Amino acid sequence: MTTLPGFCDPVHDAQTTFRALLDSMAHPGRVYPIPPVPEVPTGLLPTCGAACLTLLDLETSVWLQPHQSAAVRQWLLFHTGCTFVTDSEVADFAIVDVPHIPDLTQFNWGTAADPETSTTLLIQIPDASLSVERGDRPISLTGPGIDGTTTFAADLVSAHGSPLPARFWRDWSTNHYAYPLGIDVFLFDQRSVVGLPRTAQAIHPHS
Amino acid sequence: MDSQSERQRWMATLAKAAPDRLQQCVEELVNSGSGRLPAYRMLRSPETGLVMVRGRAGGTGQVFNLGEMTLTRCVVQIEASPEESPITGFGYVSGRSHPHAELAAVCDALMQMENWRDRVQLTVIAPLQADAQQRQETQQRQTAATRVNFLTLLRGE
Repeated sequence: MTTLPGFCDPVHDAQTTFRALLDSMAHPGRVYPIPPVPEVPTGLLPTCGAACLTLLDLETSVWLQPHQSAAVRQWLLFHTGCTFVTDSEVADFAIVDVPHIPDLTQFNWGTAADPETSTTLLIQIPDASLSVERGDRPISLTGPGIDGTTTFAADLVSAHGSPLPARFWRDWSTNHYAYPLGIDVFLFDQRSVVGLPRTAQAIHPHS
Repeated sequence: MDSQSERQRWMATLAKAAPDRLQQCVEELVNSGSGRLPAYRMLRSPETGLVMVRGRAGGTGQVFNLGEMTLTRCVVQIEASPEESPITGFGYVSGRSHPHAELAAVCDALMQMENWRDRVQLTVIAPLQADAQQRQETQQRQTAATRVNFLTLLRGE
């Protein structure tokens, strides 16, 4: 049984979070703040927790990484009633941590008839701060919803933290070219979210 | 298993009680004791929604959807002591009364606490059960009064 409450104001907090998630998908690479959940179990960021409470319900299936704590599982189950799956290929949502991001190919990319049934990935980067300023190892994005190109950076706030691995951006390029198939990604830091739909193409200076 | 059915019984009593009467009983409970309830916090604030009531004809037939009903639910948590895990109380009541769901949840939590159980049983659960029984008896009496005996008369030819 969970010991932590969810949103303070379930209706309005969920609406505000949903709007932030919607805007972040419409404008890839822009940073949108999310009202954090006051208390989340260890292993979940307050922003990612808010997104989970907003997006998950009885009909969605979720894949958690094996190292994720039982407290997270119970909290999500209590507040959303979602089902947990052990096979990542059938999951509607997957919550993963940096730097242990699995291969993107192990998720559901959808089918040509139903590309919208693919997995949505919620990636938590607890040690980074997402920003649009040109920081350390910036990522340039181009595609629908972006006027020309946009740049965002996941700047590390602690020396021991881990950024998104270079492998992720290689996988991302495969994902992008598989359009209309592919997965969509939300990146979360402690305060905000950046959307990365499958239409966004990454131009990485290091690749 | 036994404690589970016991809990089901008191939760049913709390859920079916009239909200005003429950409020009155809880006030009595507060006044009889230390003057206040233990501090609790909302794990899930009272929220109203619809649930589908399902049934089986004769208890054995195919499951069918009988219809939707309004339901209010609430979950509270009481920190009994720092070393023990917190106690969780659930309240699921029909209708849209948020205070009713909250009080039902609080009483459910108190019934799970050793030092509150007997007093809650005495001042809240027992009177509510008596009320429910009285209601049922009145209903049965009223129904019995309308009883009609049909007689078959032999028509002479």
